[in-house]
Amino acid sequence: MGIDFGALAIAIASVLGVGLLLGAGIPLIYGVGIRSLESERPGSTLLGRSLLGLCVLLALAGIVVIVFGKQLFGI
Amino acid sequence: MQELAILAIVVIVALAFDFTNGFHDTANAMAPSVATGALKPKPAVALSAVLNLVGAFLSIEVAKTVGSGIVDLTGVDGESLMLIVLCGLTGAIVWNVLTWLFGLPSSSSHALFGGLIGATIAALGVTGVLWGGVAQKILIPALLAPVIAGLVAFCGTWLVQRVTANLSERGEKRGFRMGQIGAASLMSLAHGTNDAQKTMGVIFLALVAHGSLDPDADMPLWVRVVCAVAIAAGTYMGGWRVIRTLGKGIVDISPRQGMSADFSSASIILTSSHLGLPLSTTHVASGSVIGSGLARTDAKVRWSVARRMLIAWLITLPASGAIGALCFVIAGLFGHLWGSIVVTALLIAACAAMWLRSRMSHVGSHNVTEEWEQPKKERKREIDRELSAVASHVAPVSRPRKRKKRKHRREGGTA
Repeated sequence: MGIDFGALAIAIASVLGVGLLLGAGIPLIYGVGIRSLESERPGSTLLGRSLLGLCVLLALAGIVVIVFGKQLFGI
Repeated sequence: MQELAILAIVVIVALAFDFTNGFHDTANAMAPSVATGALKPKPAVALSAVLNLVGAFLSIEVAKTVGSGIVDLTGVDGESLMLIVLCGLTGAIVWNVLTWLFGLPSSSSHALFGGLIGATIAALGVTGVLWGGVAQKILIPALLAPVIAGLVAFCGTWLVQRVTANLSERGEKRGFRMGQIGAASLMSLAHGTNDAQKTMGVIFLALVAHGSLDPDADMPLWVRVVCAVAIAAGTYMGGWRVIRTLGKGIVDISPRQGMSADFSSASIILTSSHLGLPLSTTHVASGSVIGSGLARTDAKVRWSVARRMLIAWLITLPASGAIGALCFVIAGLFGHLWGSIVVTALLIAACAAMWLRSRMSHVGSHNVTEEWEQPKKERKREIDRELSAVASHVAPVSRPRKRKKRKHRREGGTA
């Protein structure tokens, strides 16, 4: 059995891409949300809560796509 | 009757492996949360256990791929196949317990594959192993996992640190606590979807070898239930030694760093499971912790601990393989049934001995978060380095003290 370098490279690039997008993106949004919650500017509490909610939604969407992606969306 | 007895032994040993997998890998998800105090140790392992249980029912994609493309067992008769699986599992369990004893996070999946490869070589020779598959499914991912995870965690931690630089200490602790718990929960769920499947795959393989199941049959419900319960029970036991190393030993973790590390690990494991790239959860979690440590300027990574961990990773495959092969040779001396019984007895004896050894320096939920103490040798080296730095500041090496004194004396004499 030979090594399929093409498939391997695609899988690695995908893991790195999605990892950077979600693995670094969600903490960044969460961090901005926490900062907004502590800020005293008008509307910052609402923005902060919205951003934290977005993090929860992104995490849930990630689970749904990854676990049920094949059945639901064919990916 | 003999085949049924061997099957029963294989199933019990497979569940024992699942248990060790759970308690060895609790650290991957919960070490950062426990280390930062976001969760108390006992509730942390309880939460992780429940999510592992749930995760085990979410997908069986990984279960279908266990062993495929790594070893070629076609044409092997049922009893021999079950014996190979048993010896492979024995090698994996012994390695898991040994690395737990030393508090080293090492991959349970690699230990399982190593054990299977070793037992296959002992049974069929090197031709029984598909080396291309070993490189593609084990070796290359093993090299890449910590690098990818480290890179993602580095970016995440660096960005979060930039964004929340002016946050108060209270705000940081309170704000990131929930984020850390959420990320750790996601990681536990990912672990359940990934690792419980491997034991399901092994039991499925044994059932097919016995003739109880058709190779194309669906995974029986009882197999899914017992595997889920075994990994959850193992997780609840908490591999405190490994949690301590990952949470306190490599780097002192801050709340924002712990959250970034957990999100990085969870996203990478879930994506790789989906894409069929078999990355080890342990390598990913450890890489994330190191990567997030590197992104901080106020904390340093203890490379001596990381080096020990790396050595353990490098020898996991050959070591568990050697144990698996040795078990197959021993089993061969007694025949299939008695061989299985002897190997299982040796496994129990080895595990009991290691457990008794662990009691001499007990690590549990009561002391898992205590400050990390460096070994005496390293501490001495560090003190020496600090002293020499101070000394070089006062009297640079280019101007030795003795000469300076003489010169002073001479100056004093002439004056």
